Amino acid sequence: MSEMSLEKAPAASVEAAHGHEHNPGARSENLKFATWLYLASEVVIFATMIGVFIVFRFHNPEIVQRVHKETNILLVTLNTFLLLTSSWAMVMGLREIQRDNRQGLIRWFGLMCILGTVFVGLQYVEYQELAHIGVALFNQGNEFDGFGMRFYAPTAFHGVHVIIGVLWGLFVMNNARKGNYSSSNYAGVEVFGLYWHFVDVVWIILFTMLYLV
Amino acid sequence: MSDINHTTEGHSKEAAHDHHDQFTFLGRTFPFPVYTGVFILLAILTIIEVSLSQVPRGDLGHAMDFIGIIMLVLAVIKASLVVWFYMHLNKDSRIFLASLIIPTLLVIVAVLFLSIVPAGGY
Amino acid sequence: MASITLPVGGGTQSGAAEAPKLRVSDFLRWSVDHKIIGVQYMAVALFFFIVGGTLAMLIRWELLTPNLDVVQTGTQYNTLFSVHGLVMIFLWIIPMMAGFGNYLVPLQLGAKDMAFPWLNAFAFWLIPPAGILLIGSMLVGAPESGWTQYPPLSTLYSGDGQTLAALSIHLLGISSILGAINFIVTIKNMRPAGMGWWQLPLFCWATLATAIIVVMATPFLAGGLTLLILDKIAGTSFFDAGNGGDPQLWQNVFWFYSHPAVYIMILPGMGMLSEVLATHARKPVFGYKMVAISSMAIALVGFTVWAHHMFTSLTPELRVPFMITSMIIAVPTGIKIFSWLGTIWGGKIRFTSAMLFGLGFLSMFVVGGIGGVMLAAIPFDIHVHDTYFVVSHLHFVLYGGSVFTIYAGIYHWFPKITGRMLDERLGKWHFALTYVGFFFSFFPMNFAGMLGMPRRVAYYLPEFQSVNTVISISAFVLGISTFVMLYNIWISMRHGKKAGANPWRALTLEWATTSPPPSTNFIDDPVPFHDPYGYGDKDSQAYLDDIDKRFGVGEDVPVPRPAVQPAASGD
Repeated sequence: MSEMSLEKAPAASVEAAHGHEHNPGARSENLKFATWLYLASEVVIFATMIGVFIVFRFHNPEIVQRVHKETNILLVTLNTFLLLTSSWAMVMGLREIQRDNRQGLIRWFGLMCILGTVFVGLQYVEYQELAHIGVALFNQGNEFDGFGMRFYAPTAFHGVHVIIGVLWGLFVMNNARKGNYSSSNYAGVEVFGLYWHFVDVVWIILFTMLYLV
Repeated sequence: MSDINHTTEGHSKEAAHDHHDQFTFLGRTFPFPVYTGVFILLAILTIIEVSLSQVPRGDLGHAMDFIGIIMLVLAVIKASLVVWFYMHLNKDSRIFLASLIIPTLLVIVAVLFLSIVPAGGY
Repeated sequence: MASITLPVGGGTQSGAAEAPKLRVSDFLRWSVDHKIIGVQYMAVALFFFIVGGTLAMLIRWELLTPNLDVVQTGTQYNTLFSVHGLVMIFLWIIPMMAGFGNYLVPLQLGAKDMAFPWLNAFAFWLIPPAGILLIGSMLVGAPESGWTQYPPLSTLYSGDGQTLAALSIHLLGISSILGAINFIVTIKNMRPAGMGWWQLPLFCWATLATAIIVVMATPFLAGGLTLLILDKIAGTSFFDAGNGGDPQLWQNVFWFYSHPAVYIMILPGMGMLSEVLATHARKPVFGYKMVAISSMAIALVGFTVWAHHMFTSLTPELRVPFMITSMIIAVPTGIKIFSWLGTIWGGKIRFTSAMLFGLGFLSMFVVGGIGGVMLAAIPFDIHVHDTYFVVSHLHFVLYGGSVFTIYAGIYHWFPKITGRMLDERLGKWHFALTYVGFFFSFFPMNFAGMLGMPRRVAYYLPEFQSVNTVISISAFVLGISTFVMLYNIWISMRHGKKAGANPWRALTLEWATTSPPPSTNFIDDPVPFHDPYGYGDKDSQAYLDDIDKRFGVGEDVPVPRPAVQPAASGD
């Protein structure tokens, strides 16, 4: 940096000084650390929402059980498998780019995005079924009162994360198509992977908490 | 800055990539990547969980029963598998693990507190 | 240390560059330069300080007499104190601390910028829209539930403005989480060679502790606000006791966030204070490691005390653990107080405006802290619950604490930011007016509170009128004192004395460059002195002389240079 004169530094180099850590390894490590910290805050915000359900489950187990009896576990089990498979596809895609295989990355990520989209679609179907038996966002004076809002809030919040994840996945695929990643530069893929797996982990907890226990 | 050597590590791993199509666990070698192995394990655990949920549990007058606790433990194992293998905590810096564990412990304490304090009226 | 470390590394450039000229328009547009972002934060925060201050003046005007005179209805009064609280906390103190952090952390680390400059700019630009939302909320069915937004006041008895306010706080929360992630990564990964964890300036330590709290506590508020907004607009009843909800849930979730958040508001100020006291007393920080560790301890213990805000709504057996933790958290704070006293003890104190505000902080914060320990005692707390005693405590720690450190920070770092000194005579007037106005505004509130005057009321019993008159008149003095500082800033930006690189002869790295620093902060990679507060020995003197030699000395320097005044042997 010693050649960089201060006053008349060309705009581009000033931007570069502010925009990039010069060591790409350091940049990748910074990005991953930042993503983990972001996920730390996501842990807390999801826990607030799931916690509201857990408190309800603790004090009103009979209402939760009533809903479980009325609904079919098969659809949501299928959904769980979709998300688990997409997580696997994600990590296989990362493995391909670590071997410099961009086409492999794009193929695996395509699978991942399709699975994520189907997941959101099936969640919509499931919401419709629930609405059909009378589980609503607000209390309707029926036997499921109190369940709906505490169920829809965390699952919908998770659904939004899946939608964002799919869009982000498409963005990463496009970047890969343009050749922006290689075996020595895949921090963007890895960071997205952390996010996607986190969404999967949240679903694993949600699935057990909300549907099974 | 001393703990930043990720990419160099990435390069040195290149040679090891050839062995990634198989992995050894408990003395046995499996003919697929460890990621696939984890996926199969996740699937099995999920099937166990869902089957358990179909066991008739009677009326839940109390808050929690044995089956519920087993399912929660399975969920935690599944989540840990994803975090450990898919999110590479087995290879990455320990501080990433800390930034996951500390808030998790915090929220567990918070949610437990919310659950045990008397509801509604106080 | 035998060898003398010099501030600038072995680069080819000799001598110093001219300080860059900054135009006002540079601060009005998107920029990824952390220094510009820092100033943007501070300017926006100061603007909202005026807004919140105006609301405070209206409140005090209203309370001059026991009856309604400024406002027509109780609703309007509720709006005044609710928006005053929200603005002061979320749009003044927190962004101001973030502004200092943004400006100083990369400079103190000798780095060129934060780890994620773009994210930094994005986090800042969430603040103006959030501010507009919050001010706009006053116009559409204003929020009336205080800054704590307790249901059912917020859900059932406040208008749509409460929803807007909640959205605004949501945005500000996202902004501070993004900022905090940036701080943590920057401080952990971008320290220069030769700066281990125990050479980290205390302001960076404090910012790190704050950022850890922000990352783990603010999402609680985000989650709670999401549910609150759903209650307001989607017909859910999470917090509606009449409809299967639990209002206590909000109190818990809110204080999960907001008790740690009071340390978000004070910890960076404590960090600044350590810098200011050590520099202006020309002595090393007493117990550096303990101060750094106590910041972390406060961050940790701060998560375990939240329910002391809810003593009156908890069952008795749940109160006692929180009384104990609340008293324990006074210990790390006490460590800091003794460190500051030990730092100035026997030092060569120069009563600059920054130092005066630092000393003002010490005295006022101790009063506030003792009030805090009193409130932690359950029997006493129940007696003064929801009275002016609480208002007094809160303002002693937030105004006498945070704002005094912000003032100290402004006088200390203004020369670095603008290249010119603030006028010391005006600064002393500012201090005198603020100190007197502050003390007589908030100390008499203790009496009113002990006698049972409730907070958040526009009507009060006539026998409280005399004490309220004293409070209001002092508050007006306090209000006026702010304009002394603003005038000082305004005048000194153009006509202040040239500061030079290092007017206070401070050892941290932000002074080892021109004022204001060039766009890339440093010409060469700077070499930090082995002890950021190692004032008073030959090595540090050589290091500081070298900075003076390379970057030049300002006019009429406040701290004598050995070259100018050989008698000064302190540093």
